[in-house]
Amino acid sequence: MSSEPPKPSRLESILMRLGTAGALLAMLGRGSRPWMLPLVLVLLVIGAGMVFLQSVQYVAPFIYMVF
Amino acid sequence: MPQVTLGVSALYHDAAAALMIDGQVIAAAQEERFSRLKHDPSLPVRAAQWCLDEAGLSAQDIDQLIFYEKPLRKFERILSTSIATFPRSALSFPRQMKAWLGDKLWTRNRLVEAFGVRPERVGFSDHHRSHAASAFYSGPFERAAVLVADGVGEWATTSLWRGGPAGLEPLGEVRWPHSLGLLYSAMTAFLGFAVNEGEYKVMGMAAWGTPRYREALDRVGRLLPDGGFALDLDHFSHHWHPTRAYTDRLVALLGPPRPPGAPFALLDPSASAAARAESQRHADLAASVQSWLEDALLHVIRHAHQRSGEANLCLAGGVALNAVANHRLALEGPFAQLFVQPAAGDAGGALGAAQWASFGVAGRPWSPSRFRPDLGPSLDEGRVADLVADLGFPCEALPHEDALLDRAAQDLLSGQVLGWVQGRAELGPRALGHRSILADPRGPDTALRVNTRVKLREPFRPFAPSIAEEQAALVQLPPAAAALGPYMTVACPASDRLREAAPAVVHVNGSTRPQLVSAADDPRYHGLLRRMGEATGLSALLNTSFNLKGEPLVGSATDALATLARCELDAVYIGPLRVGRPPARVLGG
Repeated sequence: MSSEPPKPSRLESILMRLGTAGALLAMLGRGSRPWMLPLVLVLLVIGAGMVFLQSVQYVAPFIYMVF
Repeated sequence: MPQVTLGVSALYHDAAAALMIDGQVIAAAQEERFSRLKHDPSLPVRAAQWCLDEAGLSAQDIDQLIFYEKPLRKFERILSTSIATFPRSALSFPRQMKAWLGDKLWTRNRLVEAFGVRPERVGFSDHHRSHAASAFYSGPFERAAVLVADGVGEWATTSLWRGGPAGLEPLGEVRWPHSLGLLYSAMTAFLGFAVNEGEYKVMGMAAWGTPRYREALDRVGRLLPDGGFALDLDHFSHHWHPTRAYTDRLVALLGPPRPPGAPFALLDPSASAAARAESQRHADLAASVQSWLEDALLHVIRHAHQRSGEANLCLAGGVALNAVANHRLALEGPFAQLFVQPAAGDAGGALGAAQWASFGVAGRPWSPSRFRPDLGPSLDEGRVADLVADLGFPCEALPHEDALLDRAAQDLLSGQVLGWVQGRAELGPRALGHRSILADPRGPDTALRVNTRVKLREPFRPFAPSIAEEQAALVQLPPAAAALGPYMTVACPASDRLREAAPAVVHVNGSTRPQLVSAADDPRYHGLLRRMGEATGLSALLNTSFNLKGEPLVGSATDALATLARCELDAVYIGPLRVGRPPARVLGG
């Protein structure tokens, strides 16, 4: 780690996020709180929007106006 | 091929990294020691880099990176609590969602990007499992019950485990929002101190009071017959309010909260009677919550003893840093021996995550041993000498051990307050003779001198002593706390001799929080204590952490020199060098 660590590609990053979202939904579906699934789906869409907006150079400064 | 495991704790407070190779702890350090931000929660990139450098490895060599908790479980808890407490949670919900959806939920991405490991090599432990592993796999017992008590992990706030050759087996837990740690933290905030920082201050203040609010607190926190406990949630708001941990009902029950920074009038002879009465009320509140916590912990461990069937107990989690409670657990509890992980807070979670992966998952053989918390960065003595010379600090090289110790003892005996930076830095909040400020504990004004010249901390808080092991009779450590001697994790009664000879390290109620130092564990520090004993008959020193108020412990020699330049320490011993106060031009005078 003395040099800059290798960064994952954009595709890898997206796949990891999708994996996290899938794991969250699966956890809720399996557990005692399936009623939270619709809320979590909506929140994940919002979250994906936040992540996307933060990653777009010219939109990021305005993210605090959106949320 | 050796198996390289990196444990990581972060994103709440006290971020840390711990590196293990083939089941051996190689290095562990807190990010705050590198970033110089106290309780730094950010991903411990610098700490991890130092750990890898120490082992001569790179990120590509990491076989598994284990994060100390499960973010998805935590998110589930936050969401369901927000829904259950709506509309009261309306204020905290947007803040929480912003933090989680924009950042914390994607912890796997962040770990991969920050540490440069492949995604498939990233794993997640549980918060309490990490704590439990840090206590059991660092402890001296083949088998033990393990109790974890803190604010909250994913869902658990208190959990019981059984540790043995087969690993760690969960036996039961108390779940959020009922929490010993959060009740104590709520009272910490009530008493005007910062949460996650001021809990020690409440413990210190408690000795000045009597627990006359105990009955009121018994109504707020009830002990249950099954060995658990329940909070009356009408009095607390930690589960729905973004910043305040208690409600107006607690204020109605206990009276007005203490304003932050309010003076402690019990030590001020010129204070008015009204001010003294108010400070006494605050001390009584502190004594009441301390008494409640001790009784609750005793209740929990009595049940733990029955449930686990084990003779010994390991403790971890932030609540386990309550040294006064640990004394009662040792004295009145049913266990034959206790061990408290010295890094019981979240920093120790990094170590526990790595230990769980190495021993619990990979099934590596493990054997109990004497835990050494000096797992952090050591000193490059050649570079230190160059640095001191470049900065123009007066410096005396003392390459011979006897000369070094004689000179340090002479300084201390002449009343000087010294920095003592030796060997590898400690993991956790306690300075145990590696990054310490030392003073001769004799004389009534020692504590005042250390406080006013260096530490600037609240006058009601006591200092702790380091004592050479052969003078262990200076303190009355209960037999069940024998394994806690080296770590300053238990407060116990001081002997009459210590009370008379060294008032600076004895609290107002006659208790003290000792570190017993053996020649085998730390020959240099023990040698210094021995010299103090030869000169005074008392092989003891006042030992407090080497930092200024609001700063983390010093890590490197540079930090030590910067601290020396900004306070009134007389000198710092860095390895074999005695570094004196810098001339005025270095100080900018």
